[in-house]
Amino acid sequence: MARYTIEGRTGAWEVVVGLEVHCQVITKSKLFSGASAVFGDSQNCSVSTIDAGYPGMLPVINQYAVEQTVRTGLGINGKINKYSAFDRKNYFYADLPTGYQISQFFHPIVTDGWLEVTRENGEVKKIGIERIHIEQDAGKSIHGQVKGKTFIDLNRAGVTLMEIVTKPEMESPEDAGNFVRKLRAIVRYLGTCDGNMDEGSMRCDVNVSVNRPGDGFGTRVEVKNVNSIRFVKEAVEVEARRQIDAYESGEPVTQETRLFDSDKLETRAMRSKEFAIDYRYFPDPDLVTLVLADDMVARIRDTMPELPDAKKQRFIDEYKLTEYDARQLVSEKEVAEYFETAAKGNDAKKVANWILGDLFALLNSEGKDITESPISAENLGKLVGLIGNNTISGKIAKDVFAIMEKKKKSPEVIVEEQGLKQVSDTGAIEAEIDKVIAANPDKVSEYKGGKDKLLGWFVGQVMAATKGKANPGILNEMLKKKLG
Amino acid sequence: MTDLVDLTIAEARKALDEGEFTATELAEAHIKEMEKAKHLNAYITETPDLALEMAKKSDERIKNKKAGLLEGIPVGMKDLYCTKGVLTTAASHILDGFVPFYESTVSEKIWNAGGVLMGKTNLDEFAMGSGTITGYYGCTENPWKRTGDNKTVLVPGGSSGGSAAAVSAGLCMCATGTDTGGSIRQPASFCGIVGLKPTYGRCSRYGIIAFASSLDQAGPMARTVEDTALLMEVMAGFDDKDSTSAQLAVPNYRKALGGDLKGKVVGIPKEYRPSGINPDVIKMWDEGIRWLKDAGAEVVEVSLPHTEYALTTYHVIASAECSSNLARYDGIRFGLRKDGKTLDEVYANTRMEGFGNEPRRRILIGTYILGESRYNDYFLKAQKVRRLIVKDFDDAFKKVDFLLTPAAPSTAVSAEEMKNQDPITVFLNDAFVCPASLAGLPAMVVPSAISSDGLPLGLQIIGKPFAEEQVFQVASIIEKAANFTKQPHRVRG
Amino acid sequence: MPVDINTVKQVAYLARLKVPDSDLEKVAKELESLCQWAEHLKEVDTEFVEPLTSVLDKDMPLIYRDDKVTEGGIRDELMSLATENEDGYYEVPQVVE
Repeated sequence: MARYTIEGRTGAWEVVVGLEVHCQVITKSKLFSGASAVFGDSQNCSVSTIDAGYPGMLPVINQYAVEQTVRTGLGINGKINKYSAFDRKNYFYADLPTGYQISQFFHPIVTDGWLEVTRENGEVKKIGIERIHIEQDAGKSIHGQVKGKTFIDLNRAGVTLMEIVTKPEMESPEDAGNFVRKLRAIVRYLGTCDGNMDEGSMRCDVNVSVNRPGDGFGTRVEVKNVNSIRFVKEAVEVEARRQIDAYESGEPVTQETRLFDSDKLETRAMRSKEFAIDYRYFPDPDLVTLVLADDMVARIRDTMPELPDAKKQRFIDEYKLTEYDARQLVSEKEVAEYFETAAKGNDAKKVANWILGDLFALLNSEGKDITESPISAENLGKLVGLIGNNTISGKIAKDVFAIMEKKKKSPEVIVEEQGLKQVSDTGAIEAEIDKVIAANPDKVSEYKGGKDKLLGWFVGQVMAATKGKANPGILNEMLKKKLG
Repeated sequence: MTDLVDLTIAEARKALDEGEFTATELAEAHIKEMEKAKHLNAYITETPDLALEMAKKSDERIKNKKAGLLEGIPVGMKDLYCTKGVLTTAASHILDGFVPFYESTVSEKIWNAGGVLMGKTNLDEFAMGSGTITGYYGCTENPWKRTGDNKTVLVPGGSSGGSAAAVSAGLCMCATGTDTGGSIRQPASFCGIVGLKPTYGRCSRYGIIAFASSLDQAGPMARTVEDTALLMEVMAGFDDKDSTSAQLAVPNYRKALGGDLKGKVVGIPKEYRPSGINPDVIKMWDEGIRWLKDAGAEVVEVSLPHTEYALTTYHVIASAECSSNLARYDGIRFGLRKDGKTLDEVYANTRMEGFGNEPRRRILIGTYILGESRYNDYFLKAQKVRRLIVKDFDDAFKKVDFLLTPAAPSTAVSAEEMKNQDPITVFLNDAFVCPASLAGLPAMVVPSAISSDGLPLGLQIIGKPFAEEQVFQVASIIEKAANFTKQPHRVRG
Repeated sequence: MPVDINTVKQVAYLARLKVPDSDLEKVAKELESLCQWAEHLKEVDTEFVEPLTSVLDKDMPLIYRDDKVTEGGIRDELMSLATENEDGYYEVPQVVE
């Protein structure tokens, strides 16, 4: 299929995107200290002397943080390196107390992974992942509380991050968005990161370059601070366009770091420093080689949960869903769980339709996610069950769904209370039909004269008389017979 | 009563337990001695009140038969160890007013064993130096004087020169040091005391202010091998707060002392006999070899071919590591702070004012060496040569059980002489102690002779990794054979 | 390798050490002489030699910490050592992003 391009004034341009995704790893304590890694403590209360870089303090690694990274590495089909090591990235900043960040520069713990993403047109694109490395988060600078001052809160300093670095293999804003969505789904499935981009527990730096079809890579520009999937797509788009404009106007594109402004929808150059930054990476002599025990890796491998791709295939095989529906349902672990709960003993395809249709529309309109759904998976399942056993019609079901949302009651109770049970009693339906025929002799003769469309009108009349509860199949059949 | 400050720890411990005198009296005797020896500037901070308080508690425990290994023993703590509630300076202005609310693991072990803190001993700023002359709090004087020259003030060596001078002058019975490239052994040799740099990983580095993390190691300094062994038993051991700490049990080092060396092979590295070495040193070394032979050891010559590269390798690695380790001294969270209009100005002003010449010089060198375009040529190269230096020792230890070398090529000099030394001599000063640091090996200095100008000289025993027991045994044999009894010039009142 | 003044300025900036203009030349010379001195390491053939970061055995059991909260809650102690602090925060001059 044709590759995505952006049309400039002078022709088409290809886009090349690589991502660096920082994920805050779910742990109780920090990477190298016993201070709490959980948000919400008041300023500088989740801080140890190690995090704050006091003299003589030494890092000792959190085993669970390592395991979580290994788990993530397995989740992205990566190679888990038995030997990896920590390096210091040296730079001064107010929220970096030791003057260096402990990271893995030379020998990362995971290398050579990949993920597949599905494009809108159904095409599957495999995106290579160069590495995952473990590193420390920095603290937080708070500006403007007092004029001329910046306040430093080190609660986050030393919290575990995994940095996931892709190869430059995404070709469009869509690919980039899809990759982040897929990665987020996986870390959530694994429970290694909450994937919450609003709160910064997942943050993206986007590397963008453009080139003419057939040419080699253009100059790469790093766009920082891109903190939602929508922003990732927008940042790729606006930065690619900026570069195209520059090239087409004969201006150079320089290798630099820019900031994404989501309000103005533009990227802007960061304030340049007087001197080139040189991080002076070197192996951290306070930490020995990180050697992964084989049995530890095996244990993690054996306890890996089912991941989206496998789940999708199972949904297709087991529930006979379409690829598209299955893909939508597995995109979030919670949605998949909701689906499987609701589908138990019910028509799975109908359940899928309800979730992807009415339920998603409802959640969207209320800005809620599935875990906050006013309708439980059990109740949605029951609703589909009531349609399946002809207790209510599909049309009535929509009403029941609306009531379920407001009253938070089970559909059986609602149907019972409101008397919404479908009428399948032929005698009762026949009586209503007879009444309608008797009251409308002119319509009857028009129908008999060949105006077939009037059948629908008769159905409507009877339905209105039965408050919509007449079994539509029976009603149709009887009407046809009666009207001859 | 004999002068309490002249006792060994072993003697004092026995006397304390037998009630001959109290820990309080012992502390008082040392406080009195410290008063008389103020001019030595061995301590940056003296803690007489705390000492008496600790001694009182020791007396309680002694009375209750709950005495620890060092119960009631006056200890000098190198001012690189963080001590809770006591000013900790690293001899740097940048740690102005820094009173930690935490304790280093090693000092904590010493207090738990009943040690009594006399004060924080002087050092070269951030342990960078070999004379105890670079610190913010001034130079320490060596208590020893050249024969017939009572005027010339000599350096105690460094960087643990305050500890060495204090132990030598009877201002404490033992002291802690740290050794990065000879900082325990060279001052021990200059001050005529015993000092051990343990195997890297033997003692916890937690709470000790870092200079060069891959080399720093805490160690004991005392007047006898037995006392050193006793202090080492207290200091050593695994610490789960230090990732580079070895998970090994601590032997009873005192049990290793004495005996003979039958069946043992001692290696004499031929590269440790460069020209320009003091003939007294060669004489001592030859004598030392004879003592070991007498004790039954076989003597063989070995080669450590990369010795000549050790010092450069050491300087490259230590400077690089220190440039990063010292980045945390930025004025924001503790210590000295100098104002500035911007954050960068606060950093630069604080660090300019807070660091003395030596740390500033090394930070600049280390920052330069680690630069992206120089990393491979200098830092990585040095790390590779370091591996070859380690391999030299490994190869030698296939043939021998331990090595015997001089500790230093000369005796103590004056600060003035030290500053004016030609590069070759400066190079030689650390040449014998530095390789064992790079290889992380246990190495001990024992006073073995008095030079023709009346100053102490020490021999160095280098052992296999974690073979401190062997090193102690050899040291005890040398100590006995040398019968080193001369004491430094001391002011008696 | 000659060290130029700009490199000295960059190094001083990276290390956040103020080197007075009058000292730049001196520091440049010092860095130069160090490098000259370090040149002799080049005599050593290290082609197949792995760099050594720590003398500790690679297969020495790694010290892991359990994922438990054991530290923190020492804000008052931390702040008591900081010259400039307010409301439980460390304080620095306004940083412009």
